Amino acid sequence: MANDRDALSLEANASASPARVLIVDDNSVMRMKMRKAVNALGHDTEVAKDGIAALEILQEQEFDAVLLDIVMPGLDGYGVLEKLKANDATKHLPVIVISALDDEVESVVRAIELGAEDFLPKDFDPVLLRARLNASLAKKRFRDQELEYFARIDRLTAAAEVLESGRFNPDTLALDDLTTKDDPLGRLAIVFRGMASEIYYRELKLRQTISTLRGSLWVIAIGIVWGLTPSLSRIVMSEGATPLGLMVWVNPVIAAIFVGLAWQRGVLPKLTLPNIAFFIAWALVAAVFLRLALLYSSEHVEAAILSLVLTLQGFLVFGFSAIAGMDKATLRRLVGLVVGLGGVGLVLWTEMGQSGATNSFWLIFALLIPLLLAIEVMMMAGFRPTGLDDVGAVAMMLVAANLIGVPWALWQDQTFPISLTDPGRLELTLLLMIAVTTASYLMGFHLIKTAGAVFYSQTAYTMTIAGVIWGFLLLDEQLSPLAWIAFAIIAVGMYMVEPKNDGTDIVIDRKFDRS
Amino acid sequence: MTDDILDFSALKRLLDVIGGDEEDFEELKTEFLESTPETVANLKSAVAQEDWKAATIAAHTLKGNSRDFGAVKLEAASVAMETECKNASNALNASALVQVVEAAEGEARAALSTLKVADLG
Repeated sequence: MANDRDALSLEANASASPARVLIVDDNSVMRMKMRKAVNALGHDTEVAKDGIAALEILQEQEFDAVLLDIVMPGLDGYGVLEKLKANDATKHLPVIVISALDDEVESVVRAIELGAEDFLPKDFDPVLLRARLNASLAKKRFRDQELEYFARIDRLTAAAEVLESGRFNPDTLALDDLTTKDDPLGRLAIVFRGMASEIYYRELKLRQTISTLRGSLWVIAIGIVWGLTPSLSRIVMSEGATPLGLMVWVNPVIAAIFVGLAWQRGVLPKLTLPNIAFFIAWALVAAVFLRLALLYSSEHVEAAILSLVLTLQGFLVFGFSAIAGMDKATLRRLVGLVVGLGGVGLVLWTEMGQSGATNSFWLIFALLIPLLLAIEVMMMAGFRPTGLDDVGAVAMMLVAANLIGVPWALWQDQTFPISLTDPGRLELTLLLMIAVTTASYLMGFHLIKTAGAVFYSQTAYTMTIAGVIWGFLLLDEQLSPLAWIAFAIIAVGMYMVEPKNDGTDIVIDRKFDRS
Repeated sequence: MTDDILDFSALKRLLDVIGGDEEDFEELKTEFLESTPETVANLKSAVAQEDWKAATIAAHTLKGNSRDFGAVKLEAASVAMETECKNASNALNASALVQVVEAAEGEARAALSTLKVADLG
């Protein structure tokens, strides 16, 4: 603290640095004399020929001192002094009054009582001018430094209050400029910010871990639920259902559920043109083409293999996100993408080597499923109109899907009967498909919103595992050793395409003890 | 050095105050020579109209400038003039003093217009 004061005094006394001085006098000869005299001392000057002009200049420009004549027409020196001292912006500006001492001692006394810093006789000599001007400037500079010092203490106190409230983000402390000062307060600011940063980033890491864990649980849950889809599709097709016919039984029910939910919550979206266009595009991708591709493929491709092919979705989402700049493309993620694609390629190669031309065709056809899934995820993350509620949006998308799918199925005459009074395996499977699709939409939306599209893409990993396991359990399927190796490669690729940070500020619910 | 009209020591101090630059001194002297007749005219007009405030300011200006330029007679006349105007007691006295100021101003201007910085020694 003592060192700091010494530093202040030294700087304040260094009055050799040029100052800005305003000279106020109605006498043009005196104005010119004072201007030349002050310039000769190395300072910059501005002149005003009367009191009003002086106040105008002082409103627009900053000065370090004023040399003020008392006797002037209009607003005289006393008037100027009164105005300056009444204004917070100028009340600390040192004013030296210029007076012919012989008969104006009373005037000088009055000016000093009004707040003038000092006085000079009109016929001053250069030594006196230098001494009085420098003394006033030194006081002004010392005061400026004092004010700046107190302002910095206020800022540090405010930063301490921010820390006390549990906000450790170094940006919210706003101390960056204070840390550049090489004095005790500057060093204190550095310590403050350094400690806050340390705590903040530690908590950020912890929060990231918690967020990742929570997201991972969602990923597993979605995988288990959605992983049923290939098996259910295969079962339902083996029970004599047709892909288009399923759209008549499944989509309207899901649509009714979501419209009901949206209506109950009062979140049915407005039918503006951009919204309608989005719902139709989404319906075509997600509820018409995707479902048809899945159902047609599941007739010919085993559910476990289908599940492995579906992992392509995750890599496609990352690829699209990186190209569109929606997610960060790091080298690690790019390597993960290549590894994952290699794994999927190995599955295709293995399966094609073991099956005939027809099955190879259906394997290639099945690639449409991850492609459509990836497109759907990208549409949700990047092209969804703002302000749409999740449930309301799904409801309208499914309505659009029915307006397309149901007439199409009827026109193709692909409907099939079900029995509501005596439900069997077909009816039960349809019910499960409805439940799985409904739950997948709701859970998927939640995860994309809270963890991002890339994190969501990891559901492909759990969907695959779950899909394979459901295939074993429900359909008694087996994977070849090469397919297991491919599975492992895909897992490595998935691991390398890590989740994105949600970037939110952290508020730690913990107070410092004052005692 | 002092003659009847100019006090050279005052002029030297003025040169010293403005930093000793000859050009600056000439510029300041020109300003004095050009502005003083106008100030005297303002004084004369103010006295004629018995506007004592304006007359006081004009006399005050003349006093300060003549002191800087060592114009001793003009300074003495201006001091008397300023006192008279401040009191504003006698218009006749003031009118008589204006004539003294005018005469001193003419003498001072004549002396200063021929003065060179080198003359100050």
